[in-house]
Amino acid sequence: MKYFRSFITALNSQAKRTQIAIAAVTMLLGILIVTQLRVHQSATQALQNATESDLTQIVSKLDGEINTLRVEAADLQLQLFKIEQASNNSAEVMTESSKNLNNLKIIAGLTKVYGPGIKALVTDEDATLRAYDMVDIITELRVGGAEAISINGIRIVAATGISETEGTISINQKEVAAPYEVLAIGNPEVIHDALVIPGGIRDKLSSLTGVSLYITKDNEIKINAASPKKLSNK
Amino acid sequence: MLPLIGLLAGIALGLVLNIPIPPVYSKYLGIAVLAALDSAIGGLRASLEMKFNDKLFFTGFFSNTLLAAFIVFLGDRLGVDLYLAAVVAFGVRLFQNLALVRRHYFQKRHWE
Repeated sequence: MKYFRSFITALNSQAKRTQIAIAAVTMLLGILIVTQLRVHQSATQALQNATESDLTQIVSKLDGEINTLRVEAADLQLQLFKIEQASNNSAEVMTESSKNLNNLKIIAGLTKVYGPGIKALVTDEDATLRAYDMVDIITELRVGGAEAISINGIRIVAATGISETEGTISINQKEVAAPYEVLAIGNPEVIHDALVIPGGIRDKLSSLTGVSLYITKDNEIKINAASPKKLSNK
Repeated sequence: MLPLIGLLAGIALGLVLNIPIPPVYSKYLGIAVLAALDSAIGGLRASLEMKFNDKLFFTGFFSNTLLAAFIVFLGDRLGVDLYLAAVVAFGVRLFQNLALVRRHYFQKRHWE
C-alpha cells in the first residue's frame, strides 16, 4: 500500500511521469529489438555463427556433395540410355527377325501368300514347250522380284524340280498339261516388264509355234503353300 | 535511470516471451524499432527541454509507428522501397535529437 501510494505520487510528479513514459517506450523498444534480432537471426543463424573456416568447410562439403550427385546422375542417365537402347534393340531384333522369318517362310513355300502380282497363261497347242522354257519363265519371274510362284497350283520353291519325259513336263514328278497357269506375287509392273522386255521370255516363247503368253496384272493373287509331302521327300 | 531499467526490462521480457514473427514481417519490425528509438530519444530531449507532454509523446509514438508501417506496406505493394523514406526520416530525427540531447547536457554542465 505504501509502495502503491508512493507510485501514485510519483505518477503525479511531472518529472517522474516523463521518466515512466519514456521507460514504457524504451521497454517496448527492448522487446522489439530482441524480437527483431531473433527473427533476423533465425534465418541466417547457422551461417552467421560460423567462422570463415567453417564456411569454407561447409562450401567444400556441399561442393563435394554436388559432384557426387552429378556423377550419380550421369551414371543413372547412362544406365537409362543403355537400357533404352537395349529395349529398342531387342524390339528391333524381334520385328526384324519375324520379318525375316516371314520372308524365309515365303521363300521356302511354307505359307500361303496373298498379294498383288501377275497371272500369266501359257498356251502350248503343239506341245513345243520344253522344260527349260518353263525354267526360263520361272527365272524371269524371279528376276522380276516375284516372291512366290506357282504353276498350275503347284508352288515353285528352290527345291522344286522340273523335268520332262517324252514331251510331257512334270513339276515335282507330277505331270502338268497346257495351258499352264502361272501365278506370281510381287510388284506387278516390275514382273510384267521383266516378262515383256524386248528379246525376253515373251519374244522367246512367241517364236515357238503354238505357244503364247497372256499376262494379266492382279491385285489379289493367292498362292498356296507347297505341299509338305513334297518338301519332306526332298 | 528509469528509461534504462525499462529498456533492460523490455529486453528481458522479449527474451522470455520469444514472440514468434514470420520473417516476412521483419521489415515492419525493423521500422517499429526505429520508431520506438526515435520516440525514446525525442522524449528524452523534450524532458530535458522541460517541454515534455505525455499525451503528445504517446500519440506521436503510435502515429509515427503506424505511418511507418503503412509506408512499408505501400512500398511492398508498389514495388518501391518506400520504407527507406521512413528509415531516413527516423534516422535524421534520431541524429538531430541525439545532438540536441548532447548539447543540452553540455550546456547544463557549463551553466553549473
